[in-house]
Amino acid sequence: MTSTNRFANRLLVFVCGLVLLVVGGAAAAAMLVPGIREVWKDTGAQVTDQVDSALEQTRLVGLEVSWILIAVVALLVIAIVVLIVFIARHGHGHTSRAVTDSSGEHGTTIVESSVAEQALQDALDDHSEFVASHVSTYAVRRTPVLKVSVTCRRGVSPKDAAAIVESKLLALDGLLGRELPALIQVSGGFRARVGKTTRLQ
Amino acid sequence: MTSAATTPAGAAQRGRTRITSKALNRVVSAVTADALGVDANRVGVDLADRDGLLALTVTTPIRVVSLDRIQSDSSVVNRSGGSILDRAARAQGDIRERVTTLTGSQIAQVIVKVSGVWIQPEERVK
Amino acid sequence: MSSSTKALYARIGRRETHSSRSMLAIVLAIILIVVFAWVGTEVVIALLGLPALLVAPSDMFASAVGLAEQPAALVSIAGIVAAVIGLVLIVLSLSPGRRARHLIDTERAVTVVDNEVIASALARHASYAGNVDPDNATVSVSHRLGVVDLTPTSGIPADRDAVTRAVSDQLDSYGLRPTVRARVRIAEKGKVGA
Repeated sequence: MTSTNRFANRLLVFVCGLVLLVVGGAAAAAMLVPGIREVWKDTGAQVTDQVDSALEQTRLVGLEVSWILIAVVALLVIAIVVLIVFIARHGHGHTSRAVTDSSGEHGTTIVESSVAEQALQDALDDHSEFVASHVSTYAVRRTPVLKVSVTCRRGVSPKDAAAIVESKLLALDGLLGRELPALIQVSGGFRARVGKTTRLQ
Repeated sequence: MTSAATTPAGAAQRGRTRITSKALNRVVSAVTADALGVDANRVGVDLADRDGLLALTVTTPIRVVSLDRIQSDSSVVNRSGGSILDRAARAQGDIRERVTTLTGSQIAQVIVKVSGVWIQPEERVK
Repeated sequence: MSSSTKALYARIGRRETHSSRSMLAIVLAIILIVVFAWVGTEVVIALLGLPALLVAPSDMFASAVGLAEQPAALVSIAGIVAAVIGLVLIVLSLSPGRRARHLIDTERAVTVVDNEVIASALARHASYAGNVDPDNATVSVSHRLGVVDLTPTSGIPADRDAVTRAVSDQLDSYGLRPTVRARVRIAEKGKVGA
């Protein structure tokens, strides 16, 4: 439920894939396809000359270097910064405020996330169907959403698990005086064959 | 008693009663604690100036019954004073009234931040 | 449920049941940072007139232009490998990347369930319906299918229809999205005294 930009992820993977495909394909083609090989050889000298003259012509006054190369370095630095920011923006999304009510005539009421989290956690701890439970609050499209994560014992029906959590959520709605959107995540964690199987009498 | 003697403005003509911010803090804490069913020492009060008016921010936990109790008997919410939003709104009204009566300060707004819950069995009506 | 909540839940449901591709993207981003940093450093060093770290930019350019003169085997293999990796990346970026989860139709909240929870619950019902020990029922749940493998107790045959009915009833009661069909397989060889 984090605020990770998934489109950006896939776009980056796609672009990298495309570049690798094109460059790799071109290199392999240049080697293996005689026609392309010839073309590459022939235009090689031309390209080198064009690049050399371009670098010559764009020499900065005073220094002995072309500004094109400096621009290249600048672009690389910008790219690195963008990539670092891209990495850093993964995850996140938690919010500490569950409800903000400014409708009162005397002021504003702010209900912090810990209110809903503590109340739900306390109620869920009592149920033996759950080995563990955890409640957190995320901001999804600027709306606070509860995430109730429960780990079930072996054999517990997912419907039952969801029903239990939903009944707690309904109680919370009454307590708060507002209905908070919620995600219920039901997991197991019994891949390791440890722990008792539910024995049927 | 004439109204001049009882209104804060009237009192100002006779002499000024200054309430220190510390005392004000304590009053607000007490009113909040009373309204929301917690200990006064768990209440945090922040006083600030907002364009010449007094702005109060109160951070406090709130006493509630467990969700299991509410699940089995939904009327318990009404018996304990209503929903959290209702009780907080009422607390704001109480705070504003009390502070205005005591100090005559003009209050811009009262912000109540409910920071957590104190889960207790239902309070018996005395 | 208001329409804005519905839209919110649709978004959450979609994100929770599909891969974010974060791991792959971050790995690629790190590789790119390293490569860009190295190339940038080489260019700066060359501009300053210092000897190159690994490969001078002019040499890089020269070998790219003169690719045709390089040993054919090495370059073509490298090229093909790169192209294949590129293709894999493109496919990964476009494929949905479904996680081993299902959504459950619920009134109040949006619910996402790991497939193994569904499998574990089905195994319990299947073993009961097939008169076997729970350890002898293996269930694996995929996107549209729930495969139940039962090893019957020697001497007590398992009624495949009864098991299928029990499992299907359970699946229907869960209200899974997308719906999951039951497929029951009873092993030929039973287990003695299970």
